[in-house]
Amino acid sequence: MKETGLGEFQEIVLLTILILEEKAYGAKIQNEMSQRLGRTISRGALHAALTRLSEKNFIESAYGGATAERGGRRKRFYSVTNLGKSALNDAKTIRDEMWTLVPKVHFQ
Amino acid sequence: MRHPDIPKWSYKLFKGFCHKDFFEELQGDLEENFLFDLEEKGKKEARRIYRLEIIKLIRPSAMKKTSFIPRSLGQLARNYVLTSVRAIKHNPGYILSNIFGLALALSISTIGYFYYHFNDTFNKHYDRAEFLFKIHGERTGEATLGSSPIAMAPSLNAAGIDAMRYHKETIAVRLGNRLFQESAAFADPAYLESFELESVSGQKIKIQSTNEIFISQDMATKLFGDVYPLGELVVIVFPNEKEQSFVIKDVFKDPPQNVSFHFPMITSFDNYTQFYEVEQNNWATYVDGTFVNLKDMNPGQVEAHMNTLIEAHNRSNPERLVSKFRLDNVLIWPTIENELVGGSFWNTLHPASVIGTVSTSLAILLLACFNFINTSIALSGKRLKEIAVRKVMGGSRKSTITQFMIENSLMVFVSVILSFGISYFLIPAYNSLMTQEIIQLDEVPLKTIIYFSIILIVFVALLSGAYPSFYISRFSSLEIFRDKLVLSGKNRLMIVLLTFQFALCFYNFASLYINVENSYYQENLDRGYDLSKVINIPLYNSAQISELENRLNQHPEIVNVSGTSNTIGFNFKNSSITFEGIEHEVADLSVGTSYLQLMGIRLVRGSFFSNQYESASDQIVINEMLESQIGQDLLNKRIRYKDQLFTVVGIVEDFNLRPVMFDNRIKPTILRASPENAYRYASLQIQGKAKQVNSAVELIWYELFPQQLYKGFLQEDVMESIRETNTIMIYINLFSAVVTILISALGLYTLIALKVQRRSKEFGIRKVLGASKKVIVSLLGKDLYWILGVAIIPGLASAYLVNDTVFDIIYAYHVKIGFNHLLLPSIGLFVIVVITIGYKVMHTSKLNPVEQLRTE
Repeated sequence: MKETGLGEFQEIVLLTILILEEKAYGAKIQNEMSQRLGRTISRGALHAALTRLSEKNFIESAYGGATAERGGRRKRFYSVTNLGKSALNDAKTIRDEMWTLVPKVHFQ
Repeated sequence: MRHPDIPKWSYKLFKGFCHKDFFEELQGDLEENFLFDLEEKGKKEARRIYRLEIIKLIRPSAMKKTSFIPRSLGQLARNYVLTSVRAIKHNPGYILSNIFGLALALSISTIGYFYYHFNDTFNKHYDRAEFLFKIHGERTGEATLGSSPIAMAPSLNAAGIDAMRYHKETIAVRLGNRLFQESAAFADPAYLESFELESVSGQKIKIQSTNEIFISQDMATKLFGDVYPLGELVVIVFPNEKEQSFVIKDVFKDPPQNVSFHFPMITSFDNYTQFYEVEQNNWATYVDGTFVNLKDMNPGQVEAHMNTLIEAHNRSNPERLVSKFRLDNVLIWPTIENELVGGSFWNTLHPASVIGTVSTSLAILLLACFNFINTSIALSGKRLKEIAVRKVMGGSRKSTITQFMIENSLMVFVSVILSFGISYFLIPAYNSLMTQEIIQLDEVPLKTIIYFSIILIVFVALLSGAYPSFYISRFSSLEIFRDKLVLSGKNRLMIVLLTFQFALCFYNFASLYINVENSYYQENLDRGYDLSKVINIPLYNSAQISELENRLNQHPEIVNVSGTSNTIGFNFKNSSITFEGIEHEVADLSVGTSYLQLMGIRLVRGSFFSNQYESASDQIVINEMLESQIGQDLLNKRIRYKDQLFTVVGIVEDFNLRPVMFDNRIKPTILRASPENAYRYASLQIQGKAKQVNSAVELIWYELFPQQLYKGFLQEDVMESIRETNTIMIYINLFSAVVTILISALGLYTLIALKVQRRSKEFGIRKVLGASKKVIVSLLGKDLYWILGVAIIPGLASAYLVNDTVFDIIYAYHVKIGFNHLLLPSIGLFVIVVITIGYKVMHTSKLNPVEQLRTE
């Protein structure tokens, strides 16, 4: 079995970025995650995860244009790299395999 | 640009710590969310969320990568500091232990400093101190009077001199149906004008009316459980059972410990004259102190006027003739307070205790510095090549010296910071040992602390850094590269310093042991009577004894009750007797007829007093010392005492009249029977635990005399002063012994470890050539035996001399310091040294020579 090096929180961040497609920047990711998980995600926690993911080269980022509603500050848009996508895939495969092995009795 | 509603300080904080690569992105996101929240949840909630987000962003991944060396230092200085930090990182263990040792010593020197500070700033709390004087009465051939006649101040006031009276009395405070013994100060209104007292709310306290009282914060909490019980009533019970309630006008802040005046409550002086029934213009009644506030006069003028009053004083006090009244400034008076007669003001610490503490702390500080120097020299031996390279690359000797000085200052700086931490825990512990809080951190201004630390850093860094930097910057680089230079352990300075350290260790260790032995000796010293089974109760009138006796005799734990007018261990008077025409000075006690049996005084010959006073009134009991002083068998002989003849009925073993402190040695003593109407105490012989019986007796007392304060005390209280002194001595010695040994052991270990490192190849070769473990051990320990051997002589000699002298001054009877007292601690110290270095030495001697030689 392969080690994906992906924590649960990081995995969710990656998936959120994929869901948001081109619109994935910090605040957006934060709000999307908060909605889906039903709890408040702090920008700090998200920042830490994003930093770790870029260090592992699972995501890349680029600045967008200047925006008025942010005091003229640019947004940084994130996208998942191929490496990130394959790590996600691996994680999913492992889980799926394991799910098939769980006897059905446990969920009746 | 910041949106105006965004919390300003959080934003600034964030901008301050956030890494610049992330700031734009993060602040943008936060601001976007903020604007959203502002609309959805309102301004307050949005700001709260923003602040919370900032706090959660304080994490390494978002923060600036800062260097702890400030940029403002400049490139050159930065390089010096950087090199120093690297050098410290190379040998963290040794250097940390060095820093820790120094920090410990610095903490202790703080205590020394505070002792000095305590005396230095005594009474300086009062703004007008330099204009305030106390009146003292000089007498020919006798101790100067500290107290002064009550009529003095009014007479001076009449002459236009601003004089004021202050007097403290023990009173009782009634709370519900219980009485508490307290003390109260009575003062003229002018007193609080001169010796200002601040209320809790920061106002100046003024005595305006006689039915008002001011109490301290402690008192407020004690009596009312309330910090600010304004307008409440306090009922004060004066002697002769007069009661009066006072209104609490204000609560005052406790003054610092180093002032002369301490009182839990203060009220108008008129209350003193009223409730104690004394006249304002009486020259024979004394108050604790009369003070003069000099405004536009000089002391000479006032003294001249006071001396016109001598005649009036001496006419009323034929037993206390004053030759001259003089003024002493309140800054000087505390240093002579304990030589004065009368009054009970706080005084400065005894100069001996200040000198003792300051010199002990300086000695420990020196020891730590020496240790620091030694380790620095030993460590620098490993850095010779670095110095050589510096020189070859064009570095001057000056730059090398600077480098080493900066390194040392840096380490000392860390020590100083660390020592504040240690002091923080140490000082409360130290204060709790003492009866008086000498160290009051909140009384020391920040400025003093900062100056103190700067002086310490400069002083210690120079002292400990100078030698190593000058010493090792001297070598030529060529010699270093050629490996010609041998920096062996045989550095003379190092040996001298180590010897000094160990002499101090021997001194402290022996002192500790001697003090413990002395405490044990005094605890078990035969006082000549029974200490643990007696309770004494002061009586308000002699008639109380019969009531008490009847009631107490029913109590199962009380064996015997006797009245007495003097109590052994607490009071006696000096008199003289005449036998065969020769006068003898004696201690004179007047006791109840069954008091001596009750106290467990041991009879040598003859008998105790007859049971009835009528038949015992001309009987006298003497102690063995008096008999041997007179030099003949005195049993049944007649002795003249105050123009009356007494028959000696018994001779008793010598007993202690006072706690065995200072010069309270056993004296030739006479004991006379006291008439019942002169009884001032009831003494009870008891079974079981004295403290429990005492509280039981207290309850009985209040049943019988609900209006009067119970003042019963245990006979064992005789031991109080000596136990306290012993505890302080033992703790101080324990403390300095532990610190000196800790520092020296750390230093010694470092030195041995470095020596092992440096000579590891030599030992390898020696072993290959057949040297045994024993040879290696003796090689490593050789210098050390010498150092310990030389250090033991001055160390033990000074321990003997210093402790013997100190004991002679403060104790009447103390343990005789013998050979054992010096031998055992020496063995102990040797064992500690062996344990400290033993492991390292044994480990080295067992190493496989191949390991030692294989490198390179």
